[in-house]
Amino acid sequence: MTYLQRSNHGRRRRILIPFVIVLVFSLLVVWLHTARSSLVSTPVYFLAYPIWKIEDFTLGKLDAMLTAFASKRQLEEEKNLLEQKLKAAELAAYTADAYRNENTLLHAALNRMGSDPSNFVLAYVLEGPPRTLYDTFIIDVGAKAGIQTGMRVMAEGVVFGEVVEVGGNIAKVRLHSAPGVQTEVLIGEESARVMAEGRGGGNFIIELPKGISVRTGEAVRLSGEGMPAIGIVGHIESKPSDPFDKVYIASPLNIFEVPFVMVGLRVNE
Amino acid sequence: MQQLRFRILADIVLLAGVVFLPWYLLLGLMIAAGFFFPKYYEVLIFGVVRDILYGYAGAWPVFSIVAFAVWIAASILRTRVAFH
Repeated sequence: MTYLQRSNHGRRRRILIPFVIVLVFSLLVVWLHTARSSLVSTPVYFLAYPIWKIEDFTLGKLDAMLTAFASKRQLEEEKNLLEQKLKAAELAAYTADAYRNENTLLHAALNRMGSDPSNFVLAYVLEGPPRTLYDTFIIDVGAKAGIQTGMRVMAEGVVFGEVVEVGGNIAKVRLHSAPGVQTEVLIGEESARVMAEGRGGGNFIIELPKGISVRTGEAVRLSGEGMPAIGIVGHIESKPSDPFDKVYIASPLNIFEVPFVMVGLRVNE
Repeated sequence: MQQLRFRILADIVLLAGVVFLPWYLLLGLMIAAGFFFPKYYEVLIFGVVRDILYGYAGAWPVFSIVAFAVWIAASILRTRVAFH
C-alpha cells in the first residue's frame, strides 16, 4: 500500500502566523513603551478629534437639558465647586503674597514668563482621567496655538502636568502624578529639594529624611525659581525604625473635574 | 453574511468606543467581542489605538497587552468552550 506523503506546509503556516503576530506585537508594545513617533500618533489624533468634539457638543447639550430637572445634582456640584475653591484658597494662603511679589520682581528682572496671563494659552479638556486609565489629559489646543512639548499645564494656580505630545489641534498632557513619574519638588521650611513620585489621581509620595521638618497642610512647590505649587502635604507616616518619613502629597485640585487648563511656562526656561 | 454585518457594526462601535468610552466599559466590550467573534484580530488594533491616544512614552501600554491577552485567551478557549 502506498501512502501519500503529508505536506508540512499547512502545519508550518499554522505555527508561523501566530509566531509572527506575537513578534510584531511584542515589538509594538516595546515601541509604545519607549519611543513613540508622531508619524503614527498624528493620524490617530486627526481621526479621534471630530469624535471628541461631537462627544463634547452632545454632552454639553444634554447637560443643559438635564439641568432644569436636576436641581439637587446642581446643588451638589455647586457644593463640590465651592469646596474646590476653598482648597485652592487654602493653598493660596500658604504660598502667600510675599511669594507672589518676589516672583513678579524676579520674573521682571530676568525677563521670563511670569504670572502674565498673555504667556498662557487657555485650553479645554477633551478627555481626562479616570476615563483614560492613564493619568493623561487631551486638550483642545496644539501646535497651531504654539503648544510645544515640555510646556507646563496649570489650573487654579496649581501645576499638575506637562505636555508630552502635540498634534495640530490637540495636545496630550501627562500629569506629574502619573504612576512612577518622578518630579523634583521643594518641600519644608528649608525648601529641601526632593523627588516626588506620582501615585496616580493627583497624589504623590515623597521619601523624606527625618531631619527635614514638614507639617501637614504645607505647600509643595515644583523645583525651580518662581514655580508654583503642585500639592499640599496630606499625611506624614513616620516610623522610629525607618530613617525616612513617608510624606503623602495630594493635589488641591480635583483632577477628575478640571474643565479648563492653562498651558505655558516651558520646563527649564 | 449576518455575522459579518454584526461584526462590522461591532467594529464601528468599538472603534468609536476606543476614543470616548471609559476604560472599564471598553475593556468589557473588547473581551465580549473577542470571545463572541471568531479570530477577532481587530481587538489588537483597538488596544494599540487606545494606547496611542491616551498613553505616553514611559507608561506600559496596558490596553495593547490586555487586548493581546484577550486575543490569545479567546483563540484558545473559544474552540474548547461551548455555550448552551
